[in-house]
Amino acid sequence: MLIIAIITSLYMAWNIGANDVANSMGTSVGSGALTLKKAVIIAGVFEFLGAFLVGKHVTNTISNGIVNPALFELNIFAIGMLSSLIAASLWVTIATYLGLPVSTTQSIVGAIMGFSAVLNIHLICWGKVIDIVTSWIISPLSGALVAYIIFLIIKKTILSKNNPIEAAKKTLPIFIFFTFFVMSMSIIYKGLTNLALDFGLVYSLLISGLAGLAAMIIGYILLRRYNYEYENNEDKYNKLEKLFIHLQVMTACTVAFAHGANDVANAAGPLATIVDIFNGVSVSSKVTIPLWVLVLGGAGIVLGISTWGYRVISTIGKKITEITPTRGFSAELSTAFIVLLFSKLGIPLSTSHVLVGSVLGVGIARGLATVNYKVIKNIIYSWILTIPIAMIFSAVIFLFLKFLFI
Amino acid sequence: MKFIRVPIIKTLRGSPFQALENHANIIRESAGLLEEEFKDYINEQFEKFDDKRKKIEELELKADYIKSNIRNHLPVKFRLPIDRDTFLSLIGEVDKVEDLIQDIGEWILIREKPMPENLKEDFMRLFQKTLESIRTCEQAVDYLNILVKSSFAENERKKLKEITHKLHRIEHESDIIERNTTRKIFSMENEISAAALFHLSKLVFLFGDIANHAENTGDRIRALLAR
Repeated sequence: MLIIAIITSLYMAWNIGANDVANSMGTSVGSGALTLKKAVIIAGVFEFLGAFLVGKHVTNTISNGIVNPALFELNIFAIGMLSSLIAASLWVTIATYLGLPVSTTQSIVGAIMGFSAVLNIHLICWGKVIDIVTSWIISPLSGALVAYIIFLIIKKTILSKNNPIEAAKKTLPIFIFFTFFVMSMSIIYKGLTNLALDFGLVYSLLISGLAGLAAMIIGYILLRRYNYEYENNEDKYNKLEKLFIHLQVMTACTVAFAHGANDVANAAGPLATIVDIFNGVSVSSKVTIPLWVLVLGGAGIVLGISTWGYRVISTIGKKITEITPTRGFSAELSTAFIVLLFSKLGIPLSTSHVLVGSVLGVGIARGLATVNYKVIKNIIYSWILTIPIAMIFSAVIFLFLKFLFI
Repeated sequence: MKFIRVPIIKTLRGSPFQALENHANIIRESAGLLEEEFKDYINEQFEKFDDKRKKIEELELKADYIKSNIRNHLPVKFRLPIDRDTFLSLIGEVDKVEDLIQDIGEWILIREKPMPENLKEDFMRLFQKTLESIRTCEQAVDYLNILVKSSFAENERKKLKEITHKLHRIEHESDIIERNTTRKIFSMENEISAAALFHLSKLVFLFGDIANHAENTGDRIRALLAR
């Protein structure tokens, strides 16, 4: 049973890597900031780091936040978690085939609710579930808001200036500081317990601040070295976009990192529970998350990127060339910020949906030539569809497996 | 597209502003051809016309295709950073300029008779003014693209507004030349045939119409810029 669990979990991680990774890298490849090969390597590294360093918060929620393991018989709980993994993988595969933009996160949350509902609907921690579902609505909205604000700042401080390139050199170090601060804060604050390091809030803030400052100074020096002379007005904005390419790569890495941190849980969460039960750890409210489970999840994601993800990235890159580096930077920085924030709170959410929210936010700030609002409808459908279907799949598989094993 | 489920892919579509710029490039090319054709006409080298006329016709078809492509690919659910209806009527006006270039090319060809010597200078002046209005119209469309790239920065908005003012001025100047030339044609009514009078005065009218539509383009752009 453990082997089946590991294989399914790997498949789930593969699925996450294959499709969702394009969110972080698609725009960078599209704008020519990165070659496909570099994008795949960078995505792999940062997804893995995110999963390994920050992945455990959300993993914890998936493995014991949605239902309370203490209320289950252990082997039944293990079977349930296995059914959830299989059900979620199945639904994600079918939906992907149909081209529906469903979220792996929502599938796994639905699936875990599904098998519990078969036993007793009161086993589900409704409070936590409501938190999670609410955050699915809040996260794209806040992504839109943050992206809107970031783009507005870029517009006011850079785009509307007579010499936007010079203006960019002044403003961008601040953005670099912010990005590095957020990223290192998410790693350091309650993050390095894997490596037996734990800093308090004050020290974390201090170290992150220093990391941000260091990055800012390096960024400042590098920016000063760029000398973009422009010929005419059109050239001015093209050169500005070129300058932003470097920053877009930076935010793309951050999104990959954030995505790894949040989404590894979808594969690793159920597996962590099963492994614990097999190891005879008493599963109470706190599941210990074996490090190798996170490593396995991270590795699965990397496998997904390298076997299928690169095709998705290149397809997307060709389709969305509309997102130029300035716009991509705003949308990605916002996405990374929101996803990391929610990851630290242990709330599983869909990176794809946050990214769409962020892109729409840039659109609202008049940053994009066309924006399709129909995509909001698609996303809402996927919310409404995914939970019940994943629940039903998981319930059926659970009953079958229970019959088989017990 | 099989096995891809990334919602971001459905969020965006090619920029209609870029397509409009491509349309403007076609106008630039046909205006160049028309210039050659018109010079041949003034120099009475009628045998050179045909291939240029054909090329202009091909370009006009291409421009039409771009126009309908923009219209077909802007469903109501797609939001532009500007008013959609005004943008669509802007495309109509730009396309009208291309149509008129083709019309003039055809109209010159309909009557292969030399132009009276003393009208040549007036026609050249009128033609130069028309070319100026076409070029300024292209410039306005190109600049609209820059404005979108800058996400509607105030200083770029002002510059585009100046271009639209320029279009107004050119239309006014073209009007004056148009009136004077027509007057001159009618003052020669006893010397030239009725057919020549009709052919030439309609030619003047067509030239003037280009400036009108170029001005309309500017007006639509101004409506887009108004806050």
